[in-house]
Amino acid sequence: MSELSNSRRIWPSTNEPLRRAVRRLHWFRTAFISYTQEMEKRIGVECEVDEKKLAAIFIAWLRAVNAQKPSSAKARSAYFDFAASLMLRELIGNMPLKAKTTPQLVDENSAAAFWPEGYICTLFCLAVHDAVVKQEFNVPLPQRPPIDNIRSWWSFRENALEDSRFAAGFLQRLMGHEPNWAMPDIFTIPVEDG
Amino acid sequence: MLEHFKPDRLALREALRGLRYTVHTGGRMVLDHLSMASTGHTPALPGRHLLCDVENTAARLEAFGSDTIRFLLCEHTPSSRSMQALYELGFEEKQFARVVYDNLRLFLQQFGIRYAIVSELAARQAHARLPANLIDLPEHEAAALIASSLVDAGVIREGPVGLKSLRSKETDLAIAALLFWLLSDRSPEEDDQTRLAAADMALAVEDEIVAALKQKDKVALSALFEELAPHV
Repeated sequence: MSELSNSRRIWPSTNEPLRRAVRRLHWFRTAFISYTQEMEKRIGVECEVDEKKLAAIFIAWLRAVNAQKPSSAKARSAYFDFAASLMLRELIGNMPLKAKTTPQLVDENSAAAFWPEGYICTLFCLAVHDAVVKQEFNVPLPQRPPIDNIRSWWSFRENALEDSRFAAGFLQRLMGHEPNWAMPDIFTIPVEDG
Repeated sequence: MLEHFKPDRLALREALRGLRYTVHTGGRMVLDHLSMASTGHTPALPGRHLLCDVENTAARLEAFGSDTIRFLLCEHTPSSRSMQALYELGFEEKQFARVVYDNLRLFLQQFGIRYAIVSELAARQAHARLPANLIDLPEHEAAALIASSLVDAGVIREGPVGLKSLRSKETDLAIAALLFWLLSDRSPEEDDQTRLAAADMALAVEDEIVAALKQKDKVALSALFEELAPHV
């Protein structure tokens, strides 16, 4: 799915830097809906999007991000990663998607087939993160662990449905970090940055 | 066309709007009843041809009434000025009332309120109640005062006559959404998208808005506008 993450055409046009655009509800909503439509085509599924939930998710995410924003500029890059994980926490905790069909274009044992809604939300957060980081820092993204391990997704779904904070840790792990599983949604400045 | 009516032109315009509303809702009600009757179990109803004739006549009457009144009103392109633009123009009463009238109607529709009239006259009264130094205040503080003033002036009226003010959770949210939208930084191309976002944003913080307006807590309302309006 990396080619989808890097595709600019799915993002709504904006004159602002993406880091600002993503903090606007009208951009966020349009981006989420466009991304979901692309993923529907890719994995052969049909989803419903609850736009009211999307607005509530956006506000909760915005408030969470603002509450923990570090003062140190050195922590900026790490905070971009963390902000993406908070976005997934909110999406999983108040799931705005509902798959109306079973994915037809993927293996039945794949993550996308196992939990299409969680899969789309996770990839959305990664895609937005990658687009923002690419624009802000203009550096290649680090190599990531494989994301299609079905056992990880099984554990992710079980745990996140019980406690949505787990979703933040899951995304941090997908980005190559080792999360603090006791408090995955509390930002700590990485030693090398602080 | 009504330019020579110097005295109370706005009051006349409001009356014509009320009339248009009555024609529109009356037409819609006839159509709704006919639609229900034609699919329901009403054996005493006239034949299908007659029903179609009445339905067409009602639709034509509604269209004629609305077109005629629109012609008499000489209404122009809706104004979508931002708060900043209103500030730059000196926050003039007529422009403010026009923006409220043109846009609050759209927010009411988004909150599912079909049977209501926005009073441009009441919007002017709301403007008159605002402090003289409003333009010196930060925009989010001014927005809180404006929202309260619009509520107090009863800018949203019950249809069809529009004399009685209408207040509910949805009308409070529509007014807050209007303010979120006026405060937002947007291009003309983004007017519609941001309007939807402003309404959803108001709904997402519904409890905070309703409580602040009910308690007339302008500090809380101002803080909410300051926090969220840049993110519409």
